[in-house]
Amino acid sequence: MTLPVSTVLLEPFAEEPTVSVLRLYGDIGLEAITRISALVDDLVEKKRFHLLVDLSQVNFLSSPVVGALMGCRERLMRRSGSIALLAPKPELAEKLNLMGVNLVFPYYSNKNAFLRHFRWEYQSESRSLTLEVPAYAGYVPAIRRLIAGLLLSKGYTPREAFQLESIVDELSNNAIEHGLPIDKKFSISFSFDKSSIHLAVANGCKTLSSEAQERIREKFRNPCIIPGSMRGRGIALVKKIASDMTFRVDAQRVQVSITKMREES
Amino acid sequence: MMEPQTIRMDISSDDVFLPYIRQFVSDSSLAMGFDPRSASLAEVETNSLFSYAIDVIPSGILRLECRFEPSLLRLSLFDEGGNLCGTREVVGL
Repeated sequence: MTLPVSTVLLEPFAEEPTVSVLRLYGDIGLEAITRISALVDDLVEKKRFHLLVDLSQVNFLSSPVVGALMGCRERLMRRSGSIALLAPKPELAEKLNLMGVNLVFPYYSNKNAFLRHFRWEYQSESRSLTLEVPAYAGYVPAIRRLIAGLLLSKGYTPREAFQLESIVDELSNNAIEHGLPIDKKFSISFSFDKSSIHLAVANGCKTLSSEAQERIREKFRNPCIIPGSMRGRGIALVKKIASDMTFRVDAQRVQVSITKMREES
Repeated sequence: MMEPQTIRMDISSDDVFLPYIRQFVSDSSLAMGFDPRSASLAEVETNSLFSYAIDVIPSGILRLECRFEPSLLRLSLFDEGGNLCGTREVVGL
């Protein structure tokens, strides 16, 4: 198929049915505005509020078209929709950046990057991390930093990231120091979405008697802070920071899990 | 350096995580006694392993194994099906 110099097409997005793709080709000037606006009006009427504008085949995008896209953005966002730009050529991206377009529209270099963001943002897709780590305290700072970074990269606040760091620190050091894992390893399971964080730290251990198991459970239920001592504060701190803490103590395994709900922004 | 140790990481494929994964490998290398230059090399190798995989595996889980041996770090990356995507080695001083 040979396309005219300037072409505007609307297509469904095969990988994500709730998203439509506005595919632009060539030099997009004033003459395209009416068509773009009409297509977006049609989308709104059909209650399809997510639009990806494919710029990969565009050489030039005039300022009035950028203005029209801003108008489309307003219409879609008023209905909890979204609009994003896909794969502008480097020269075009540079010009758009000079106009400040990158401050208004998110850009994605490829479909996969867009899909990852879209599913996280609009479909509550979660992210996960599982670590199996040698029981060596030297790794704990690296784990803290990793988990904090993952949260920050998805829009959690520095405060929330720091709180999780504190929890990771306490539970990991507990697993290493008190758990005395027989296989010299401990594990961390971490998952989060836009609204909550789940973390579990587990370690294997030498076979615990029923009494020993109960003593550990009691420490988790009623952490005892000895006045003047720096010891024993970890679980109390975790309980204070987390929205919920649960634990499971078996004969050869101890696991502590927390949930933290996202703070209101 | 201590006896060989392995860290196993299963992580969602997401390009925004890459800087923190790189940093983790670098921090772990330092914790295992690598000098800062070798830790930086480990970071670079992690970046090269992941950046391709994250692009071609849009969703799902990637597994990174970091095996620290005396003066050596072996990095292996697997996809969700357990297929090996790539390996790298960094000499640690």
